[in-house]
Amino acid sequence: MVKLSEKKKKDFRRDKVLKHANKTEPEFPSFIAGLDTYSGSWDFQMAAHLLRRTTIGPSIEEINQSVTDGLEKTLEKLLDEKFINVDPPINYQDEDDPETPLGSTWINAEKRVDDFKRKNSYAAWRVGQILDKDKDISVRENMLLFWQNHFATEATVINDARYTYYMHENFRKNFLGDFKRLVKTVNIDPAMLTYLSGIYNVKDAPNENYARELFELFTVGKGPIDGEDSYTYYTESDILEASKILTGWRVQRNHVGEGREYFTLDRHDTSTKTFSEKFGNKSISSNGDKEHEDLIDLIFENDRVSEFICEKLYRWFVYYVINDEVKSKIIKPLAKTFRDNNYRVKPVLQQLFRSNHFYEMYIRGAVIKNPISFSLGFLRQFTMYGFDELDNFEKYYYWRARHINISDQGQNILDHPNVAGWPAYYQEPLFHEYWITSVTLPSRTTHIKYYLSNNGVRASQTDNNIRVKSKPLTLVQTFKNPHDIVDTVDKLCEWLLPVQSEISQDLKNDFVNIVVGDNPNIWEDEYNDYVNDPDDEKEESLNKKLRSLLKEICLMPEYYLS
Amino acid sequence: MKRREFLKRSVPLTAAPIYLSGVPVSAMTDSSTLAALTNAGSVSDRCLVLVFLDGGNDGLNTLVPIDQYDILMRDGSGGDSQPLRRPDLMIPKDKILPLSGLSDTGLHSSMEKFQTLFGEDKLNFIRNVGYPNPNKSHFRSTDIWNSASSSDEYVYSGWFGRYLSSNHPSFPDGYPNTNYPDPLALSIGNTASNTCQGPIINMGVSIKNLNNFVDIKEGGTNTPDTPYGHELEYIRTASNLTNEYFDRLEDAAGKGGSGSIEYPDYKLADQLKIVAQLIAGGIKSKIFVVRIGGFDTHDNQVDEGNPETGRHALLMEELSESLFSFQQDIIQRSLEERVLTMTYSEFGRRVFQNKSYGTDHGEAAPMFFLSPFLNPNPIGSLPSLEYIDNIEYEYDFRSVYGSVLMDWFGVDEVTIKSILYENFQYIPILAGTQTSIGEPHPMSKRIEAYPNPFKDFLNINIEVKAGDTLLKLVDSNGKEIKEIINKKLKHGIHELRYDGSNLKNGMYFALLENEGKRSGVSVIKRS
Repeated sequence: MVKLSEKKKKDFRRDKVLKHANKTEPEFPSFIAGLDTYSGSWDFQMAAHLLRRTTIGPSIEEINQSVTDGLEKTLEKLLDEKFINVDPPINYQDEDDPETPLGSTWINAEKRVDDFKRKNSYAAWRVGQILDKDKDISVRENMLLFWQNHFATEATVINDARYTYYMHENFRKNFLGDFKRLVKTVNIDPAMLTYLSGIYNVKDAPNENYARELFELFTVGKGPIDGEDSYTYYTESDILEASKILTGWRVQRNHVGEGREYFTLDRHDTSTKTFSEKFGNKSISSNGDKEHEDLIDLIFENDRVSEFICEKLYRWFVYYVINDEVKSKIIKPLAKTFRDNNYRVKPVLQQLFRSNHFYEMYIRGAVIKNPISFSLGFLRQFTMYGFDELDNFEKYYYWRARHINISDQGQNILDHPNVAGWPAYYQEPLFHEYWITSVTLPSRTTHIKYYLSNNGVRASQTDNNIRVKSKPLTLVQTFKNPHDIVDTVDKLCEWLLPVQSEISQDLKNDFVNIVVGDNPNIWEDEYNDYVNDPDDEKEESLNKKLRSLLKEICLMPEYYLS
Repeated sequence: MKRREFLKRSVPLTAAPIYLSGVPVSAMTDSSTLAALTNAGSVSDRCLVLVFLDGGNDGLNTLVPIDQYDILMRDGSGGDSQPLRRPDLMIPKDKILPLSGLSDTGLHSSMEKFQTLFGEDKLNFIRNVGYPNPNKSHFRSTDIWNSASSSDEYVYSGWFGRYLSSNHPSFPDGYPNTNYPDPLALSIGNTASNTCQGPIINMGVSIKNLNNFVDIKEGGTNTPDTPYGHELEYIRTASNLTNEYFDRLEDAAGKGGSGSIEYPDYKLADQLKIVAQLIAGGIKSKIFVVRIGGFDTHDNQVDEGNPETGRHALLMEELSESLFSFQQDIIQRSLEERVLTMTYSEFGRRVFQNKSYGTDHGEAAPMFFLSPFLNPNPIGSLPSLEYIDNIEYEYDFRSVYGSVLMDWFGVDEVTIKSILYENFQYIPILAGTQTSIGEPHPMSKRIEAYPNPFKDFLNINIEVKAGDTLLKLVDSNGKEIKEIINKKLKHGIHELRYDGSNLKNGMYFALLENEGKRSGVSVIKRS
């Protein structure tokens, strides 16, 4: 039998996904910068980089504000933990919901057997939260996606939109908070109890489903096999012992509101559970409804938890390659920060986002935007006019249609592919490249073209004439020299494309030519004519030119990157 | 749930293939060994056209049980002993279209074209197809049908995706190539069907129509030597290859031309027309998925007072007319023998009517097949509908899928069981098909594994260039099971032996990465 060799993290290694892919691997710089505080200049490009990575589709205005604010103040805003109360999702299409009249929320209603319209409503509402530009810049929506991907579920399997709502609200409330506490709440979260069979986990028949993922995906992560039934950080017997600890939790189906989980002692295994040498052969004795917290305390004795989570945060915010150097210079110190702060996430991100490493050229533009960053980011960057005039039902219709768009591109907010989450964040060696396939590429292209169409985007279930529309001219008019198309292209590129030094003058000239064709003065003439004697027709003519321009810029592979 | 007896109705012996080592003899005509079958890609020109009836089709209003007509007309006035059935939904008895040779069953009055095809032995059906412990959620049950999981199991990949990846384990690496220039699977519509979801990524592409191929921008050529440049290059490459697939499809659409058959003006007909045009133009995708929606007929399934009209009648007409035109088209283009068409729906509907001239979510339902190679005898018979609300399944849909894989694509029983499920039972849907088996897939040359299937030990021979070599075993969901080797190897052939005695039964892929090249082979574990 072949001896299983020690799994070691390789240097930069990737498969060629498709036949003409790179023959050479990108060179690593001889050394990367560390976590020491960023000492370079703070300008539009740096602010844009920070906001592209931490928020979804930063507007020019937001980036300009960040330039004015400086790095520290920007971080303060981004990482502000205060809870923001928003109106809960409403029933916008289910006329037959006996509990919830149209226009009111279903989150505290009774269960609806056929609740897919509530799921639609929830998905639409989330899209609405992401697109909202009225709130201060924050990493909140991005972190919510991180957490829901870390504790991935499928709303369709859970089959109760209320559970999914409350689980994600828990993440929203604790988006930068105490991770250890968060795991304890997830242990007995009704959505998770339902999704990973916790409600069937009873003393006579322990169900390992949740316990296995608790180790493998939620805390220490699966390590290389280092013996029979042993995965470096835990063993099969640990899974069994943990599942015994988690016995006895149930979900009250017809309960209204939060707190529908409850503990039943007679279904709970009260024996003493003993763990393997991975956990120092320690035991946990019966402790009723607090026992599952004792389990988490035990698991967190292993520093590996902090490293595993910091690796995931790094892959989410920075890049997916974690080699020995990244491990020693970035992951280990971040993990220490994490532990020193009792597993609060905020100090970790603070350290990362103000580090020299985060701003060095090596990682700039290296992240392939996920569909939410790409499509919803675009819609955040380019205001759709007519949206504010829509009624609530039309808004939900519009948001829900955008959710279908991002689902087509492979990122469904309701349903992760499975408990491991989106493959782009765990599947070696492709990682982020999973977002780009021959199925999703045409979707990305089609959606951007649709959002930029001269007829606008449909925003009503019943009336095809109710549409919202981009008006890039309004934005361009806030630029310093809107009459100058060369300047305008420059500004758009600086804002929309991640690595300025790699955008050639030739490319920018091509962009300019899309607008002016063979008449170099046409933009300036038309623009000035419009300013001096404005009318709708002239305005739309300029908008059309800009939409053609944006269809070029935003469909460049460069715009796919962040 | 009680498992029903297999094959209630006897079929002529000639229709059932004779087995040798679990492989129908017809499938072995051109092949030498079982191993060749398991690992070889079928290069026959056959394809499957899969028609998804989205929403849950009312089988009883499609294939009407004439013999139980009076029972179904009961309006509930007979008390508990004669419960309400579906009097408001029943088509007048004299309007039901008879099927030649069948006294107990007729077709919905809007399905004249199906009646014709049945008379020509080019259409057949299996009744009561479903699965144990049925789920009545549209989404969940659709997932079950697409993934071919059991009802308490969540499987990410699709059944046809698993079949395709058993022949193309390293997809998408190295695709398209000279042997496989076409998409392996094609969905007509916005998204690639989950049926074609492979263990790792979807094995197919989707197109909406033939006159608007999206041109994906490939962008500039600057490629800095950084992760940014690396990802940029990847996106450009992927864009280029997608354009290549699309160019190929566009080219085929041109070659295929629009044909001489006039299709009716239905969405389903539009999709099928695209399929015929692409096959005629030389596209050799193994599966084409089309969809017709609107089957969730909770209300106004029939018009009040006129059960011959209403939502369901329109759907039946669209289905029957569209498929008939498609069949005429492929006959005209001499493609008929290459195409098998199969319909499915996530569930059937209840026996009794609801209060809105409609029906609610039910269980088993019929599936239709169109091909010149069909077993002429309908399969399955209805139970008494006097008291039941749900029609229990008689045939498991996975056995239907498996029988299609076996007879149409020449897949052996062992592979079928690992792709679908252990309890697979052959159903003689097709007759007289002969499956040709082609060259071993080029990607498998650098790696071979035997015996296949294996019980305990699996011998894996790999041929590598000197350098980093990773050999791993992943399951059919793409999950890594074992890293068998991960180190520098010397140039040459290496013989490895892997103890898989603890593995669960099923299909696995041995994937090899060596010096930037990936190869793979599918293997089956059976204890």
